[in-house]
Parts: sequence; C-alpha cells; structure tokens
Amino acid sequence: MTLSVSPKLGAYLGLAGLGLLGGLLTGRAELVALAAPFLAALWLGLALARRPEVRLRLVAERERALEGEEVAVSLELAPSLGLPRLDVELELPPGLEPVQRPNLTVLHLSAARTLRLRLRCRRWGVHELGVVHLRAADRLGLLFHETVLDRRLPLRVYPRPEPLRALLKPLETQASAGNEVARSRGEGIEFADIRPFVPGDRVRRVNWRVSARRGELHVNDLHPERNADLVIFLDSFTEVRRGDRSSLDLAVRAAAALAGRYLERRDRVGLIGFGGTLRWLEPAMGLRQLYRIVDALLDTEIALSYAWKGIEVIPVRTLPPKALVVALSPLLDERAVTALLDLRGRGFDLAVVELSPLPFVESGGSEVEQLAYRLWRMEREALRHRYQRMGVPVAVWDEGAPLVAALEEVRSYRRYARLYRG
Amino acid sequence: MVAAALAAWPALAAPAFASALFWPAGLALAVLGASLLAGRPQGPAWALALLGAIYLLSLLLRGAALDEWAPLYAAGLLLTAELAYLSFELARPARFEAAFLARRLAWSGLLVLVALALAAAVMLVAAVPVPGSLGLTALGVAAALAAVALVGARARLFT
Repeated sequence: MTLSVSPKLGAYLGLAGLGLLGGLLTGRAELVALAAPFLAALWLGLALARRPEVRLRLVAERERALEGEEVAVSLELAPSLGLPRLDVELELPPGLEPVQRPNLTVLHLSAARTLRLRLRCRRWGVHELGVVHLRAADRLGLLFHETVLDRRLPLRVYPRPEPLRALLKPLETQASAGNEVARSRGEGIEFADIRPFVPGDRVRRVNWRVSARRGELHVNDLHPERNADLVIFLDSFTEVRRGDRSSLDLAVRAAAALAGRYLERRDRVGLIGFGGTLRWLEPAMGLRQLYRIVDALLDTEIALSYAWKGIEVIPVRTLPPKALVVALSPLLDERAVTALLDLRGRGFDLAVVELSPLPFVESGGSEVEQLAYRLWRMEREALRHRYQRMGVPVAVWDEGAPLVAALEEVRSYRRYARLYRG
Repeated sequence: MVAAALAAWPALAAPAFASALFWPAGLALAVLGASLLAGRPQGPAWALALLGAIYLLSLLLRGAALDEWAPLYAAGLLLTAELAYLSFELARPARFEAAFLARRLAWSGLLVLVALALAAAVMLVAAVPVPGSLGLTALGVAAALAAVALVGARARLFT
C-alpha cells in the first residue's frame, strides 16, 4: 500500500510547532496551551494508526447481461484489523455506469462485510471489471494508505434485441427441412398448383373435386418447407460516432437480432466481419451458433487499415450458394461498397441495410460546408441507385426507427422487382 | 460559528482595542471561508494561525497575567480545525455511510474534550509559582523539542 500524508497532519504539526515556538519566545503559557491540543491530536492519531490489510473478492451477479440491464456486483471486503475509514471505488469501463452516483463509497469497516453495487450496462461489449481503488485512513484522517487491486471479472453485455416480426425471404432455399416455403414443388403443406396425375403420384394427393369435374385424375402440387442460409455481412471498416452512439452499435444490434430470429426458424446463419480485421463464422444452425455469433459480435471493433480487401479474401465455405446475404453497412468505405457489388456480380442474393450516417453528421454553418454536405448526400443517393440498378435492395435504417421497417422496405422492393421481372 | 466566536473573543476580552483586533479577525474568517469554498486544505492552517496571533495580540495589549480562558480557546481552535477538515472530506463526491460519519464526529468530540483537559493542565502547571531560571527555560525548550520529535518518530514508523 502507498502511504500519503493528509494536509491536516502538516497543518497540525505546523500549528503545534508555531505555538510552542511562540510560547518560548514570548514566555506566554497560553500559546503552549493552544499548541498542546494539536500536538495531542497528532500523537493520538498516529498512535492509533495501523498499517491496513484488506482482502477483496469481487463477485458479479451474472456473467452475461443485455444492454440496458442492471447487474449487481458484490465487493467482499475482509480486513485483518478494523478500519475506521475505508474509501472503496470500483473503476468502471466506459460501457458501464453505476446506478447510484457517486461510485465512491466511504465506510467504517470493523469486520468482514459485503458492499453491493448496481451497475447499468450502457453499451454492448466485453467489459473488464475488477480494478478497485482502496484508501484507508486512521481515526483522525492523518495518514492515508492507498492501493489498487485488480480482480479480473469479465462481463459480457449483449446488444439489446431489436423486435423483428417479419424477416426477409431468400430467393432460393436449401435442401434441409425448415420453416421457409420453397419455390420448388414437392412434399409440403402449402398449396402450389393442380396438375394431371402421373404414375408415381400418391393417391392421397389426388384432388377429387377437380378430377370429377375434368373427367381425369388431377393432383395437388405442394411447396415443401425448407431452411435457408443467411450470411450477415458486417462492414467494420469504418463507423460514424457521435457521443456514445455509433453506426457500429446499430450494426451489431441488427446483426444479433437477425441471427437470433433466423436461427429460431432452424435456418443456418453465418457471419462475415468485413473490415480492418476479417472475421467469419461459417453458416450453422442451433443455439450454439447463436452464442458463437453474439460472442463474435461482442468482439467486433473498428480496426484502422489502409489495405485493399476484396471478397476474394473471404473463405469460400463462408458464402454457400443460394445464401441470402444481408449487409449491414454505413456505405462509407469504398472497399465495403465494392465488395458488396462484387457479391452481387457473382450472383448472390444480396440485400443492404444502410446504417444511415446522416444523424451523426452535421451539415455545418457556412455556405461551402452546406454545399459539401448536399453533394455528399447526392453521392450517397447515386450509390443507392447504383445498387438498385443491379437489383440490390437498399433500405436505410436510423436509430429511432424499428429494424423491421427497414426490412419491410427491402421486402417490398424484392416483391416489386420480382413482379417486374415476371 | 465556532470560528466566529473565536474571532470575536479577543476583541471582547480587550474592548479598548476592539477596533484594532476587529480587522485581522475578519481577515482570518475570510481566509477560512474562502479556503472552505475553494476546497483548499492549506487555508484553515493559515486562518487558525492568524486567530492564534490575534489572541496573543489581545493578551499582550491588555497585559493579562495568565488568561484562564485559554483552554477553552485552544479547544475551540481544535474544534474549528476538525470541522474544517471534515468538511473538506465531505465535499468529495462520495457516498458516506452514516456509521462512518457518526464515529468520526464522536472521535472529534472526544479529541476536543482531551484537548480541553490537556490545555487546562498546561495552564495549571503554568500557574504554579516557580522562579524562572536558565535551566528551567532550557528544560522547556527540550520538552517542546521532545514533544515534536515524538510525533515525528511516530510518523516515521509508517514511512
């Protein structure tokens, strides 16, 4: 522990010395009487002071939480001797904040006890708790012993789930059974068409009413239920930030919500973190995959890089054929923009959710700044049209709006595009 | 309030010199108030030293032989110092537990009582008629040095 002396000790020592010296010089006993209490306070304070020893254990109520939730943290303090004063401060990473401010607690610690703090998870991520500042003082506050204890305690804060009622349907489904009605015909529940009976058709599929009317056997055709492959393409080249809000937060929140909902439907979901650091998870299904994806999302960060990267760096198995690729991007970095165009060029079923950077940017006050701002917005419009000309729906998602609205925009685009093609 | 009483005391004890003692007393109060407001822990020491000096000046001006109220003044000075430094601590952005505050105030109160007794003892010893001599003065100096050295030695144990 580091020892420090309080200003009070210096002041008392100075006043006592001054009083004694004054008394000797002037021969006035009153000055000695004035000095004596300060001297006595110093002696008493120092005589009662002990070198403190405290054992600390940090326990979190749980290891995982959702953004916006509260988590209780217990600091179990066990002193070897009673401490008349102990200041306890738990250092918090930026993504966490104390429910009750201030975070510093001053207490009298006569025996082992537990101090409970409630923390609010402000931002998703893996937060390292555990740096605790302790400062013990004697009864009169003359000497301070300070130390910093580091008890590593990771707290994983998952992004707040975005409510999603409707999802994007992929153009093509996969071979395994699932919840998505396939375009192809086969064994299923959804009615597709009526056609003449051919040898090999099951009798139970004969549509007797139509057969009676037409005079020959007709059977119902059905759409099978198949699963789909979804690849979430997360652009982590760049982000726009204002205060504690950023476009990356939106991307992570949307990615977690999409992965959760598609995996619930027994679809396979993969992840590509395309940025300064390339990260990927091959498509898979199940709860374990959800945890893998969310854990990968928690580690997502913007890594500054000037290296040019194209989609050729992405492992082939990460992008299975007929997969629906949903890109979450602010469309600011040329490398991400080009990679998405390349994906579409290679025939992938692509939809782009643009995490609008506009709420994070101010137009500026001067005429030139406003002109630049307008030009920039027009360039963004042109980029969106470029995507749409290639048949890629682009929906803009702002923080205030629900994600389902952006997805609905993509769905309606795809619906009309299909009609036009037809 | 304690500081104001201490500032007013010398002037009240020597009414003939009240105007001369009024301004330095006001200055001491201003220094104390300013340091408390500004959060400067060095300030109270200067204010207390000034109050002590005013008290000495009052004694010299009125030519008192031995002021029997000195222990009370000494206890008042210590109480002012304790409260001033406690207020610095309470000004920190922290949650103070009631148990800590209660014990701290109790200790300050006990200390003031001890101070009162000690200062009274000093005044009682000073009231004993002993003929002055060089040896006695040397003994006094040695005692003062020993007292400060004892405190210093105790503080060294921690460093």
